Amino acid sequence: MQRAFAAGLMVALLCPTIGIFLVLRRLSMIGEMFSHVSLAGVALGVFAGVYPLATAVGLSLFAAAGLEALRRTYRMFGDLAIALMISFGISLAVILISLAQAFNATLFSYLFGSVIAITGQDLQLILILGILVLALVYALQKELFIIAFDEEGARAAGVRVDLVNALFVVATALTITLSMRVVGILLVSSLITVPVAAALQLSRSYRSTVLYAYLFAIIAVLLGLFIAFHADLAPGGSIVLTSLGIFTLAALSRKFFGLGGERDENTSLVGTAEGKGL
Amino acid sequence: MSEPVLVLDQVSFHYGHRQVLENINLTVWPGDFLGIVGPNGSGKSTLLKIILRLLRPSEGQVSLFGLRQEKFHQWTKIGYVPQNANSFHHGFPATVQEVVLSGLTASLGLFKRPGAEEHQYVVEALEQVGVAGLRKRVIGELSGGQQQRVLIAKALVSRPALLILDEPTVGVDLAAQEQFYNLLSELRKEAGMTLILVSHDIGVVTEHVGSVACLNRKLYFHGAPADCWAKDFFSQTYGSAARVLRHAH
Repeated sequence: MQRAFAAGLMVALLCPTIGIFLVLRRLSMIGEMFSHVSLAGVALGVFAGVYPLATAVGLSLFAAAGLEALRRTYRMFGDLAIALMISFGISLAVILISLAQAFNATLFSYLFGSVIAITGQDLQLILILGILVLALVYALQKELFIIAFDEEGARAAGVRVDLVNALFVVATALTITLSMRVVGILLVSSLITVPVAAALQLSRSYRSTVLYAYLFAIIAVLLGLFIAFHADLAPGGSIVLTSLGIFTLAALSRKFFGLGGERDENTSLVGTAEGKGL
Repeated sequence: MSEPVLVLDQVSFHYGHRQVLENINLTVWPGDFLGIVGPNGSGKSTLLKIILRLLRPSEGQVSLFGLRQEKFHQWTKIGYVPQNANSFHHGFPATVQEVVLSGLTASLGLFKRPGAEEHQYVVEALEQVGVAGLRKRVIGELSGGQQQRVLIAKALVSRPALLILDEPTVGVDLAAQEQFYNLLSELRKEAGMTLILVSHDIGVVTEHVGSVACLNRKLYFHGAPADCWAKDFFSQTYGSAARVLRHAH
């Protein structure tokens, strides 16, 4: 239980950290991609009888390298590279799961998240790699901002866009793999996008978007875990439904109380975030 | 005279078999205000991308500030103002101040964070373009003309010697366009900045620039705007419709 809350808090920091840039760059599909690859990684671990979170991290990093290679080859079709990697992840997962005959409690805890299944080893890995990801993204904050704002302009200004993108993909891979232990593979990408979508309803600057996104993710994870623990539910569902509840409240308070200011619906990023991420 | 800011030496570019630019020669000197004009699809954007090294020329050589482009690394000497309407998502949640500050990303370098000095540069850049009062506003809420000034401030904040503007007056109303050209001439006179402006709007551009380059795959003319009209180069680049355009302005 305490382990779940400690891991949950780290996940609540990681997901919006990555999510804000994925949403602003309209790359929410990358979240889906890494969760599918992570599933294959977990299945590989179960099949080979080794620690599944470790194989999931390994396979995700491999997929991150694959994605960068594909994106360089098909520069014009960024989406295509992501679609190819999703297909790779899910098909490999299906084969490994059937080979391992692994439709069991372990796999289910990875699919839907778990409060009780988080081990000391899981927590250690989540905290260590989590701190690494937070430090990396913090260090690249200004580069990630200008790339999200105008990638070509950033390139023209001499920002090392390719390097920053490659590091960011690695950070994304790690975030999703670590978060799946708490929220589950099926719902990771929702926790990446929904708190950011809610923050965009209220924010009046980039800074406030980041702060709101952290706040909403923390509330969703802690409240969701609490509900899951007391009602004996899989936490993925309760966490993401809580964050959707926050999104609804944020959207309503913007509509009725004018928080977040008047904005043309056509220029809202939120529609895109939802459409791709949920 | 000091060394040229930009030299294009027999630059050609093709996408597959399609020739987009053919044998372009062009020299820009410090303090020049060059307008590159041409119809849509004439290769203007491609030429800009080549100058900014977003694309490599198929043939020929580009030099910046006396260095061959491959050896040139001081990109902060060049400020680039992209076409407003396409360059960013208008729902992007950032204030004017945050956007302009991001213009210092490359000059700060990796892992360095902006401090008090950088914030002061932002204030100065916003004052320079006359939108200091808007710095807390969300950029997507501003008018086209205001957004454009913000994007210019973002380019100016790293104190470039050369400012390149891509179709800067698209989506900007006439009154704001006039103010915009006044701003450019101030930058040129007071800061001694070299300006390159790309546009399809020949009428307005030729009224303001110092020299003009007419582009339509090849470079048809490079010189003073007045000579350009006299020698009828515009009909070669645009077809005969150019005459009508001129009278309209």
